[in-house]
Amino acid sequence: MPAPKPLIETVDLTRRYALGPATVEALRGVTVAIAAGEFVAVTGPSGSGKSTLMNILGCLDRPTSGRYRLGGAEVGALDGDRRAEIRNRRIGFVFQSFNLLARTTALENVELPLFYGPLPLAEQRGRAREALAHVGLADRANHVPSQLSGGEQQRVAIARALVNEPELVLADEPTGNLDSHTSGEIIAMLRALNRAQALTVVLVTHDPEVAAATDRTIAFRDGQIVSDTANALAPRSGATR
Amino acid sequence: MRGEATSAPDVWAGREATLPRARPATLAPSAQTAKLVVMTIRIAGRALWRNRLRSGLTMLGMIIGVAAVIAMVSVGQGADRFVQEQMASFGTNIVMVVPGAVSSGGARSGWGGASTLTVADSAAIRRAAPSVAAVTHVRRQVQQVIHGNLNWSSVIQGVTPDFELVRDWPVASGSFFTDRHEKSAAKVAVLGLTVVRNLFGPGQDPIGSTIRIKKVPFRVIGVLAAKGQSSWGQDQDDVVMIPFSTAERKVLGTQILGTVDMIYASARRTADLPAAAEEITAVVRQQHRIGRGQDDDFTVRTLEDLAAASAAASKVMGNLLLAIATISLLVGGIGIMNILLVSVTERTREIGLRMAVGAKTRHILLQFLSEAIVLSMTGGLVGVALGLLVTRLIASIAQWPTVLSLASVAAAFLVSGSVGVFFGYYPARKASRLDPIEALRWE
Repeated sequence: MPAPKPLIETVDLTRRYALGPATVEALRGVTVAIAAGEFVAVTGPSGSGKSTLMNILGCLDRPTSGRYRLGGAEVGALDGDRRAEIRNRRIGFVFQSFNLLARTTALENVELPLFYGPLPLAEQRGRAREALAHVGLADRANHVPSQLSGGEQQRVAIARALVNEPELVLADEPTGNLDSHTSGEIIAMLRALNRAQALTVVLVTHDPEVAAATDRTIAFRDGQIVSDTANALAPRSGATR
Repeated sequence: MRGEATSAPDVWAGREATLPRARPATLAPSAQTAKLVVMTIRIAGRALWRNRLRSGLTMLGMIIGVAAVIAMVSVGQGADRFVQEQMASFGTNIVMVVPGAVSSGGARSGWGGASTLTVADSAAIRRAAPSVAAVTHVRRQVQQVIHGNLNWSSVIQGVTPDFELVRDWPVASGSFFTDRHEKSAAKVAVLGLTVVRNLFGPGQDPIGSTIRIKKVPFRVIGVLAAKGQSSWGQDQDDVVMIPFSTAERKVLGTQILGTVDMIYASARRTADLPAAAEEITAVVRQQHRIGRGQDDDFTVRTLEDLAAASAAASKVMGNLLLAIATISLLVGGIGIMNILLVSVTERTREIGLRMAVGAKTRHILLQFLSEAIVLSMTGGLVGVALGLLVTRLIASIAQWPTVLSLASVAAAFLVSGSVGVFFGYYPARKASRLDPIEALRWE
């Protein structure tokens, strides 16, 4: 199997914050490559820099130094609007707390990223409906989040992440607010997407069980990668190292 | 865990074929803009609808401000027009000469304080003032008028036949008296409409009947056309006109013969009015032998003076309105800004999420700006409607004249939109500058 071209490639990423008079070094030289179609878990204690990395990978934040290539193009230094475009077209986000708009139907929540994309207005509804059906919630389209269970809410969020057909899904503790059964369902769903569409999924987790279900686990401590292991037990999809 | 992965929900069976990967072609820029506009307004509308009560209360400031301005402008313009119509009814090219604001020796008295004007002055004006078309002089007195068993106190005016010409005040029926009546001091009278109403029954033709003024019988030969209220609120139709000579000799005159209460002159054209006033001043000064540097013992007035006074009054009124409008729109705008700032804080997570899924700075800016504009324009619209309603109520209940001004409606609408932009910009900018990471973490 030829080594696939990496979708994500970072070289010596650092990120420093000014926190009052002190400077916090959230990332201290992170070099990592993730191939298209990989399913990767990022673990580590809180404050270890994994969320900072996710923010940079998700083009929500810019590195203080170092390089970040997404699909071969340098994106680490782009301005806000260009990064917004990349987030819109190429990246889907799944959050721990779902981040659905309250008092807004599941369908409208899924539709949200389409507002900012190039899809013609008339096609938005249909596309959102498709994405919602894709996560098995077609019959819940007109429910608002408060009428949905936690697992259903997270599935709506996944539909929202998928609606613009991204290459990369970044999930920050996607199962953190869910019970173990539901959390299994969500991970299974992400895995199925990863398999079916060669979607690259990077998720942050504290849960060793969740991490074990992925292809590869990258462990963080003090802003650096301390281990990067292929999960032999996991069913392989993309290339691992 | 992995066991569960294999027993994933049914919805995952045969998932492979779904979600076609065909990326939509990028929209043309114009279509993209159209989509942006529609989306922005839709999102704004939804956000405002979700907080209906709050949105309504926020708009209240704009509504009341705009309604008040519309109503006040309508009433103000109505009053203005009323005054102008009244002036037109008096005759716009008339010059009035009234006796002395000043008597000799510098001791001052008010209008008409001295009876210094004479019939000779009137004749001199007719002779020597080229800009003057016609002149008449007046003696007046309030007297009881009797017809049958009815009586009415009215203003008896002794005037020359030219009065009809000068005041441009024709008779509605019958005829005005003539030079022959004047020369012979005939006991004939022309009645104003108010007098007719008070002395004659409905359907009774006053012409040819006899009325008595101070026991002197007069034959009614004409009824004047309705003139309405004067600009100072006097009923101009409450009048009995008799020939000047008759008044002087048979009804009013105990004073020295030849004195008059007032001289009316009409200028040839409205444009000649200032010239006519100047000529009259010069003629009367000469008549009264007033030396250079001495004060006039009479006053010359034109309706232009009154028009100027009324214009000044409406200018003050206009400035007052502007001040009220500015203050109320300012208050309304601050209300909108306040609520939007609250809204931005409340919806910080939403803003973060929108940014994460691809909203650019300008999308967020436009979203909140359009919420402000929708708030203020809707407020403006409702305010205009309320203002029109109030105007109608004022017109029908208080019987005040009102004028609906399209310009003020358009201006109110436009200004309320600008208020939205002006006061919405700061909260919108604040929202658009949020850091998506911070915003997503907001609790």
